[in-house]
Amino acid sequence: MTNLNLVCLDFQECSLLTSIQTTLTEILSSTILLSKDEIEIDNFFNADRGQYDAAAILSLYEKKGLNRRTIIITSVDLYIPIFTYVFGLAKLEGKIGIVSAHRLKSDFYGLPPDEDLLKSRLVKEIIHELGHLLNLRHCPDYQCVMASSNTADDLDIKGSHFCNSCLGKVGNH
Amino acid sequence: MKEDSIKILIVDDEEIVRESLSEWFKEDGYQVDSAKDAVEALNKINKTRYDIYFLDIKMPGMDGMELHRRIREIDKDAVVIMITAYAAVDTAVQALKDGAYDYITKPFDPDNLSHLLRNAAKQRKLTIENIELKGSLEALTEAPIIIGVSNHMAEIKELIHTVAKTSTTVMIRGESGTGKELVAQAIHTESDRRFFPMVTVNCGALSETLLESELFGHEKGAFTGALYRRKGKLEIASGGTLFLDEIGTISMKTQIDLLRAIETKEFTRLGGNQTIKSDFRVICATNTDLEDSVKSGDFREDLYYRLQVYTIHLKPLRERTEDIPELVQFFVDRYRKKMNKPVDGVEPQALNMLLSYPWPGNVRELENAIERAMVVTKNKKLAQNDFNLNQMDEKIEYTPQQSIELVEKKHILNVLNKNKWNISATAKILGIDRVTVYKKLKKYGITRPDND
Repeated sequence: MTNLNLVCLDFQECSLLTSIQTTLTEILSSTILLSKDEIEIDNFFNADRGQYDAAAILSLYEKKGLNRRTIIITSVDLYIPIFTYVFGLAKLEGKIGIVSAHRLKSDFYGLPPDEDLLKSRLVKEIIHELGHLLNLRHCPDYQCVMASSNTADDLDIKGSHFCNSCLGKVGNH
Repeated sequence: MKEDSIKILIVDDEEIVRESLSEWFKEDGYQVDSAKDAVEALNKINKTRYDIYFLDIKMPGMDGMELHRRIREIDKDAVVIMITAYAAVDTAVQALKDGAYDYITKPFDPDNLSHLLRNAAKQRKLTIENIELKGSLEALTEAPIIIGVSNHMAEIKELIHTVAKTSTTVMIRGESGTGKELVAQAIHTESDRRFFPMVTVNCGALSETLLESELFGHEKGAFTGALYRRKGKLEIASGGTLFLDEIGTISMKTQIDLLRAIETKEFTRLGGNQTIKSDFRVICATNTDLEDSVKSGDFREDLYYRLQVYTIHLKPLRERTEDIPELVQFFVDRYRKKMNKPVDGVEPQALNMLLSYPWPGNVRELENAIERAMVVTKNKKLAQNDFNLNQMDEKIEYTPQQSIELVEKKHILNVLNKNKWNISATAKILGIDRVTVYKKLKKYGITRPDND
């Protein structure tokens, strides 16, 4: 479908990376390039909120000028000024998106850690943000990966694949 | 109404709020626009109608509260959601009292915002659906068109208008075909009962027992053939109007039952014990002289006065000939559409003929005459020979100046015409033998028309 850069930025769950890469390659039928970035993420920390500004991080990468669609994965808790939190962020038809594992972990909700569940949620969130980069909007099909999801439960209900309608829309990319 | 047809306007002086919310809503498939202050917002509202508004309460210049009031003036059904900081919750509560749909505090919980927007969109869709449905219901209950330029018709329209808003019993009198049911329909559709049924009962067409069953309904087994319980027209008309046509023909027993039902708005079904309440308004019509029937004892005086509360008397068409041209054009237009025939009017000569004809069958006869003419005509305008008016029914004017011979001649000619010049039938009606008929024809110089 589309080649994708996956950039780790302060991503703690390194053991999951290879597995995520393999799953994404299968689902997207694309080459997934893994890399690591060492930018000073603390520059984006908001002490009042105890969170990191997702929009500001994306702006920094936009300024760098990217030639391939890129999704940043991180373990820090993300926000944008108007929202209390975001799982991820990407502009429609943009080049760069970001996904946080922070609120996708079971232990965030007081449950025992579950790596498989975390991987599944991360994969869905990465594909979802990639969908926005491909100009896809939220999908009314609750099983489609482009269905809107504001809670971890929403993420678990939906699948990891694009529905036929969304697939048709991204066919050219 | 789908998400993509819902238009949202975000009004906030902070660019980050406008951009983030716009992006968020666009991802959900909504059409989004934004404005940095109230002035820009009002300019945009003047050009586009939005469904949902997000208004920041604190803005330089006109604040969100005032903007909300302005939006309400433009669109009272708009869904307005106020954006506020924690410190301004009191103001947000005031906004709710002013009619805002809800308020959200910054920063928003994405899940809460999604739910809020979904509910707001649902509310807007329901409001619009409601407006549309009301519109189509209004169209369904549109008053019938009453045609006529005469003073008489203007008075009738005024009388209808006056009585429609009340629940008073109305008696409509007039010859057959003058449009009594149309007037009843107009009263019903102008009244507050218009969303409920108008039930018509033609009293003249039904036997006594059948009429009672029609009016009051019956229980299962009330009489032979009453296999099921059946609601009567009085019950069906609850909330609406009961139109009793040819009221003068109903039997004494039905008159008693009907009077009781009209006065108490209560009745029992035939063969039943249960008292049924029904809120109906009675409009009745007659083309007979009810006063004579009251005098002769065929119509109960108490029912007569109960029905005669407000009377509308429709003049026959021959007494308001100035209405004929408009009626003719109306029926020509109606049948042009129905028959898809390019006829757009009548020839002046034909119209003169229609104006001089006495129309014993009134507007109904006029409509039928136009329909027939529309069928046979091959021209763009209806000509005299397209009409086949029943001239035989022309009323013979008897004046004290006429000789008995002239009256006899007119009468014989009329009967002959009515019987298509069948001498035997004419003789039978006149009560004379055929030979006398021939003698009279010779005496008065009456000859059979050539074309017959």
